Amino acid sequence: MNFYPDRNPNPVFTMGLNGRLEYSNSAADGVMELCGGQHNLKVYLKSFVDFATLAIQTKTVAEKTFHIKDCHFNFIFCPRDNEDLVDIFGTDISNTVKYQTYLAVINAFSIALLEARTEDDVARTIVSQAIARLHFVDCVVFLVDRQEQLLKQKAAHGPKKPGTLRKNIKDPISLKFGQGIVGATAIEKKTIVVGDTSKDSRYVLDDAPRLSEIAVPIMVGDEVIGVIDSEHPEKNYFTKEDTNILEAIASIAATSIERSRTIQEIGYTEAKYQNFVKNAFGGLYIHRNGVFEYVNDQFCKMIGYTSEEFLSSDFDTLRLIIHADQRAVQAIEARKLGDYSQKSYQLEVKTKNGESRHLVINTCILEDEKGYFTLGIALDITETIQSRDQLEEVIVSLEKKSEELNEFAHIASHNLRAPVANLIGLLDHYDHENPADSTNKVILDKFSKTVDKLNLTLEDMHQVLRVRAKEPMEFNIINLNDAVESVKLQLSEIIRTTKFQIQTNFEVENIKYEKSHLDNLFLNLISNAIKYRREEVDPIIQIHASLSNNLVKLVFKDNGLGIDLNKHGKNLFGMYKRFHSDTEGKGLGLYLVKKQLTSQGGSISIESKPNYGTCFTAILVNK
Amino acid sequence: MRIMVIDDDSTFLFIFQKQIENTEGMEIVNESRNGLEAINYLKNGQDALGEKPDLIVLDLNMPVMDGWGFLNEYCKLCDNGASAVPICILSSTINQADFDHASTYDSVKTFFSKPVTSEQLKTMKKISEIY
Repeated sequence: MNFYPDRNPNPVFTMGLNGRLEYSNSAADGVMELCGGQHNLKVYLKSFVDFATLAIQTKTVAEKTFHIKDCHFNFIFCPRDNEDLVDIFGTDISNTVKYQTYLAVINAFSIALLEARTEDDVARTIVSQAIARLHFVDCVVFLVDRQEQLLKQKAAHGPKKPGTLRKNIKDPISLKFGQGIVGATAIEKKTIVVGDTSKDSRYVLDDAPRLSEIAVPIMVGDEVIGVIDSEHPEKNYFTKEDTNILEAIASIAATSIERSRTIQEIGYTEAKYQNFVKNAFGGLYIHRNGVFEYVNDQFCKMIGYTSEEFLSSDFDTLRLIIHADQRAVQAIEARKLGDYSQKSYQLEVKTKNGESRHLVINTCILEDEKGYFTLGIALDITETIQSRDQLEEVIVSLEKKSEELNEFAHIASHNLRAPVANLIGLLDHYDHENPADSTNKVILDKFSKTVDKLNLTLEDMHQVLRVRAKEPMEFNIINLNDAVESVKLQLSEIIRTTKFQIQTNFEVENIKYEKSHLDNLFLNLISNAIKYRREEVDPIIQIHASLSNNLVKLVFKDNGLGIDLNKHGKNLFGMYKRFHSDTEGKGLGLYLVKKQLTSQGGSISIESKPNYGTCFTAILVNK
Repeated sequence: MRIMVIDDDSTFLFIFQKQIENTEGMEIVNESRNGLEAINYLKNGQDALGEKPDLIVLDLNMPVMDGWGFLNEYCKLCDNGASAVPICILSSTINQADFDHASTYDSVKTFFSKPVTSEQLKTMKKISEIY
């Protein structure tokens, strides 16, 4: 077998006991050169000699890696069977070891970067987790300040305080784009390696002159966001491997900086959003599974509870609600059927100090990683509702006033103008030349009656105005029998001629009330019954009084003409309405009776049947 | 000229009677106290000669059946073939709504407020001649 040991690029030794060298090829001689020569092998690599001796003695094949200067070698020790010799075959594994280190550094660096929140964090991590472990003598990380268009030193590692990280940089270096090797890198957007800075005009002296420099750009897309810069006192120090590892670090750092910028932007947006939500004009809340998960300040202010009270798990949401409108009920039903769209409804809620507030609630159902939740916006419309109620009251009162004005216009046109027109007409026909003329007598008689009628109308109007003006009433104890007797006296003539009967049955006899009102009630209802009596029967009115819950019920039942309520019902208590042609009614009576009763909280109603009779029921509040 | 007057106010009727007496060529052929009486008169008997009046003078505010009720009933009568007699409303109202409402009836030719002047009586006469 032809064997050319010297051509083998890997070192081969043959060694006897105690480091006696039997053979070495040229590569092996190179290894020994690293140790300072053959004679130094025993001194410099004592463990290597010991390992060889052990292999010869035990006759066992063994393998071991040795670190010699900056190199790593893997040796296999193969002892011979019949001689005290060992053949040693070596492999230079320096690059493998270096790359393993690089991998470990990059791995640790990547993990450490996960903690980095800001760009400055990233810069510091590059220095502490990568550069320091890679044994670079000096390293500075610059980041681009986009507003000022400057490269600013963010972190450094080097001899200013050897072996430690310069965390707080007192006088950070700032470089313009294009200034120095670093500035050139930022413009050229690629790594620059300078083997001898003394021959490069771009070199900028830092704390001490160094002959080698490497500058690696940190790129996001096409944009340079920073530069990793390292220097070394020796010439031509930086290798291709150094370029590779620094570029790898720059690439990882770029990703991290990009991420941190995004996080920061999200942070700004989120802070802005949170600020908006917190101080929003409306009350905002998140409600999930019957519990408040979030409430903003305005919502707390609206209902009076603190945020802590709202968010506690035993806070009873239902306790807040006094009243929910129909739309709220519909919204709950819709939610059950899976309708998660926006719903709007009104709630009346009870605040912490017991006040009632009206809220308009807008809600929708949203979903996040924890499941469905309700997002609600509440607006306090209590003031709006109050002013609306007041407005409604004003409208009702105005409508009433307007109706009353119309009634007055009616009185003015018919009940005042008609008699006045008659007076004028009568005067026209009065024969002044023959005062004794028989027609004159008739005219004067009619004149007198018309004036009386006019006077009565004015008196009625005064009564109506009195009720409307809400004049203070005088409440006295009145005996109902006395009231009836008084009416009998006033109507004695007609009662006598018509043989009208008045029967009373008073379960309650005394009532505290305004006397003029009660007198008017009895006078009107009794005189009505007399006016509208039926000739075929003996006319009678039965009056019954009873008391319950402070209300006096007076029932006036007659057997008179009756009235067709389908035809006249709605006009019955109106002003100046008359329903029978053959009587002298002014039409004001029932109107005034009703006004007086209702002004004191009472009421009046009627049942009637033509040719059968009429029954009025008046309810009076016993004052 | 034959006038039918529908009014419940006896004093007014007395005065109106006097005015008609003093006006040449006019006479009252019927006095009705409310709308219902008037409708019954127009439906049935009319006067002894079986002739219709030339003019109806109508008040608005009356018991049992007021002027509006009469106008509605009278419209029905005319729809059933009876030829319309011109109507003059004579009322004490000064309410614009009453004037407006009255103008919606074809047979209402004019509207006067009480008291009646001799000028107005002349107008009534002219109206009955035109229609």
